[in-house]
Amino acid sequence: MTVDREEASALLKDVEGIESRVRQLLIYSRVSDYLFLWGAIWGLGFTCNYFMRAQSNLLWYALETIGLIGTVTIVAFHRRRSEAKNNFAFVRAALSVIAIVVFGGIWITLTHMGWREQVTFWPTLLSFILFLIGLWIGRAMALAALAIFAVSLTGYFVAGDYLHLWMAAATGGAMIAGGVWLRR
Amino acid sequence: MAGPDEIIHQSMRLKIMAALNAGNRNDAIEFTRLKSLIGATDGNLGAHLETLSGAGYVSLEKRVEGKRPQTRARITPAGRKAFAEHVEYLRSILDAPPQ
Repeated sequence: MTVDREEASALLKDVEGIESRVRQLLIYSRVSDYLFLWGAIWGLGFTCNYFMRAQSNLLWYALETIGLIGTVTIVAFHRRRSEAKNNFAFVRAALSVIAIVVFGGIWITLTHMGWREQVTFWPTLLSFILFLIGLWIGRAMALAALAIFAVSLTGYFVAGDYLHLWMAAATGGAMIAGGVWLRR
Repeated sequence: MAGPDEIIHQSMRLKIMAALNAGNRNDAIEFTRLKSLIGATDGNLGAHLETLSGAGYVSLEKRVEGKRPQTRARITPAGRKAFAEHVEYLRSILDAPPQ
């Protein structure tokens, strides 16, 4: 069997195309896990905000702790399955999350945001970052992030006193639906 | 340097091996997902998977999920090695000075 340069080049291009598509699907699968987890936590948290306002701070601490434990569990699960154990990627991801939280905290403090702005700020910030990442990773992720962003921002303008419920149902729901869509 | 692997060299089989090799170590890919990844038809993919399985490059797992039969394919260590060697061979053709 002889293979010429043209054929070899075409076959290697096929291989690279398939490999990049599989890598994209693996990333989608990971992102969807986080969307399921945080969509459920935000859904529950904002529902508590609406119905149990007095206890909501305590409940949010509990839910965020569950979310962080869940996130670390998902990271550990994927690391165990992954071929390449990239510790630097893991540290970079953790630092990115801390940087986002610090950035958000600074601007919430500096601008003395009201409760409606604060409630809308986090989902829009996180979906905006997801959108930017999606521009590099793949269209489906960018579109899912854009949908979450649009749903959250719409709530700010139309939900009035029901903003917490909107964020619970629409934003939490959009995150879970986005996760399902990425896995299709 | 290893020569071409005649089983993997067929373009559809090379794509199948590329897809299975790119996943996590122990991940299997479901038949329908694999079909859409590489753009094959049912019959075509089934025949190529049987060939790869016969060579020991792929292991096939058939099970029933819900009421639907499902086939999942997973690359074997021998398949991973053969794929790496074949890709290396293709690269060496490109790296060689033109005649």
